[in-house]
Amino acid sequence: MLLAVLWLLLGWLDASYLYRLASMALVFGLLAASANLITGVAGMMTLGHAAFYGVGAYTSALLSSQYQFSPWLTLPLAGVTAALLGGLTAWLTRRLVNVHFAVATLGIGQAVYVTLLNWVDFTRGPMGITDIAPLSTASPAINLGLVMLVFLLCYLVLERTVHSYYGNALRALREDEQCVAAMGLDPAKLKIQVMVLGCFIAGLAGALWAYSTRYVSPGDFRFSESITILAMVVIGGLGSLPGAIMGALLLTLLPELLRSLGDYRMLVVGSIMFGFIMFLPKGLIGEYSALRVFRSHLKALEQS
Amino acid sequence: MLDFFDVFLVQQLLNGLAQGLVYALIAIGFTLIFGVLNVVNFAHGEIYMLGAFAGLLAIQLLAPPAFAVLLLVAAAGLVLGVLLERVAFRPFRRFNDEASLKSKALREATLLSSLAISIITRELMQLYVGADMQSIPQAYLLMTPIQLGPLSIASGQVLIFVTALLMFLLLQWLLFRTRLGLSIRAVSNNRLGALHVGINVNHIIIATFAIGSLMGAVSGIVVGLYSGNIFPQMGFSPGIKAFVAMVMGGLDSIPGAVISAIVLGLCEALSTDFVSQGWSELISYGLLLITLLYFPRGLFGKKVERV
Amino acid sequence: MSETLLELKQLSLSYGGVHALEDISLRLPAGGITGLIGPNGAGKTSLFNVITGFSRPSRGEVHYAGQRIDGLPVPQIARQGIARTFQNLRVFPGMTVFDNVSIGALSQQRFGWRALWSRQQHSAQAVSAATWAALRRTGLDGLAFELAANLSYGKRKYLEIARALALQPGLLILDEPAAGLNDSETAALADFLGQLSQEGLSLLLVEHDLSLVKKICNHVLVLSSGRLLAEGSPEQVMRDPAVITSYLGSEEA
Repeated sequence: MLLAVLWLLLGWLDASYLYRLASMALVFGLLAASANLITGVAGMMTLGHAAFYGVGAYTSALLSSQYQFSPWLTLPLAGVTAALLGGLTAWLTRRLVNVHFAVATLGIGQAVYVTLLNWVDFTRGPMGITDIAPLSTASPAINLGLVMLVFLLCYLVLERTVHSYYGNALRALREDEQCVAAMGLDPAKLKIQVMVLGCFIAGLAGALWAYSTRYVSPGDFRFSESITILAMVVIGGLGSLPGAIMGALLLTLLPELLRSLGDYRMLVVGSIMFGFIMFLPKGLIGEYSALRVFRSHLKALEQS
Repeated sequence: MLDFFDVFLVQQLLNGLAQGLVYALIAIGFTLIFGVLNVVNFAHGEIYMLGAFAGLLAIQLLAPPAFAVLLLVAAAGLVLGVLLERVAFRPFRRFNDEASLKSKALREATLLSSLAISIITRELMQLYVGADMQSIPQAYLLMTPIQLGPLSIASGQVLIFVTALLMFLLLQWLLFRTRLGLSIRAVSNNRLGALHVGINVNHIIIATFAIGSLMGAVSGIVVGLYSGNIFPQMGFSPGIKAFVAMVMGGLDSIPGAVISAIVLGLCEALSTDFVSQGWSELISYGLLLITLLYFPRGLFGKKVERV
Repeated sequence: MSETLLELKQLSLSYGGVHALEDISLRLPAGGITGLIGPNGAGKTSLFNVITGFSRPSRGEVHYAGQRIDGLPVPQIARQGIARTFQNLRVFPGMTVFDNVSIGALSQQRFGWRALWSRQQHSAQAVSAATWAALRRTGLDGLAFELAANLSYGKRKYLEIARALALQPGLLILDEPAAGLNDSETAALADFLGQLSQEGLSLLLVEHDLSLVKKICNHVLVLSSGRLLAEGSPEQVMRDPAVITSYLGSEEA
């Protein structure tokens, strides 16, 4: 509903800059929400989320510009490619400790970046891919509406996942893996599942990014992007879904509002992140309070 | 005798060895700190970068003999390590009970804080000195070639060999022959136990940071003197390689990290025969994946998770 | 002897040349409380780890309810009906009591993924029913929405048991349930475990508190240096000269 109001408001203002900003915020909202699922909820420190985002973006960009695939076909394909890569990473480190997962995602992140940069024949290297067709040719407003639609669908899926019993299993995985196994749930399976889902959504976000900016280049998927996404999750509160969205909004809109910052963007990201870790480690909306809101009827229902 | 070898290949191997030793120098400090805190210190690459800049500053301001530059940088590294520990790590060590020591959340907070500090440091340096390469004055450059038959080694490479060897031996001596080393090993083995036998865990952790950062900073200036260029981003890539080397070595083994780092350096140097510079970056990640697949505990690891 | 629930056949476990368990064969009847005692380092926790799949035996077999379970992954053994608690109290501290216990209820096969994926308050009745049942059984239902980290030590012990009970196990393995509890708490725990046993649950517990073992166990196993030294009723075992010299002697001296 909020989104619909926003859409109408932007339609009334009819400013293409605002459209771009809004779709950027939505894309990063999805990225932060999916990184939150992996790092915040399931406790697997991902340092290469931008890789899955980039794989999704390039999959859709290449398929639509080189092979004339319909955007609506490339969206799921982008998600699937990213999910495969994510699942593979999780499978590799399924029985190892958290540090191994962190270094593996860091490695995947760098490997994807290096590949995008150097495989010039296929990805056009540092020049990036231009002239990507938009999602629909109707109007920018319709395009933004479509991005909102995908965002909404993904959000609903994530919302269910985080607040369901399955979400409990993921949180338990974060707290104590061996205990989870002793309770009859397979930690390896959970890790792979959560990476597949999280990376699928990151891949979708990448495709949305490619279609709304109509240009992708390796620079958008560097290590610093992964860190920015992580910072969004930390600011919002590790494990808190509404928090992740808030964090994404804050970190996409703040640098835009303070345009004069220019080069200071990463400095701002780093400092805000540090400030939150030090002084507000639970983030804007802590996990516990977010869960309480989403489950407020539970008490009344069960105790009656 | 060298006729039997391809001179070019041996030359490549020597270059690779030097590169690997650079990674090893960083990886030693990295592994030392990880061993004691069980936390990845992401700011280690920035210590390396700051070490190089501290050396440059010393050269520009005082123009001391090269040996004095190394000593000054070592001192700077020491101070930086203590500062880093104070800012990014100490605030999360309020509790020493078993639950907090094992708490994943706390460990993650520390990892994130060091990551944030690393970004802030790098960006601040970039703003202050600019992203461009700074060059070391000609007089200090260690690029004089030394001919060994058909091979040529830069004097800087010799310095790298010597520094790496010295540091490794000094560290082994420190760890296994001194009281401080004994305490460091005790803390990294079992922090609670160390606390109970009256070791001042806080002091040991600070000392470990100081030693590790000292080594990181010195390797920064050594590389700077050899390559001639230093820049704010210089810590990033070797930092990641050192992290990879530590994981390949099995997380808690310093010799393991050193050997893995050398392997990484050699493979990268050899790969330039087959692929362009850009792709050789991928080699280390490929090696990492292979290690994770076939040696999940690392090549030299012994840490076993107990119930 | 009644029906056999758990059977160990010539079980050995060694790592790095150290024999943690050597040639242990025993049968555990269904029902009742079995105590496992022995001096420190006798291999009690190792035995638990082998039964629950955390360690793979170097030799020998483990059978549970007629099926061979050694070598199976930990989660599968748990789903077969063996639940355990840990020596050093391992609850999920960042989760509420209800959520903690729901993890135990989750792994029962009869809940499809649709039930798992739905919001807690809507369907998934079975998960929440099993969770509430376990919470009521342990008297934690009033604290269901507290964070586990905020519970007292004693309450967390019960939380761990509640989580295990939510698995609806056939055999509950407890690693030092009374450690760290005072006398009145220990007495309450003894009563509670007695009730569980009367309801038909089989219990196997490691315990250092011999008076507790005497009070509630109807069968006692004595381990010493990885070997099964004696077994029988508490009275029998504690009269056994071999047991007295190796264990009780040193305790009571």
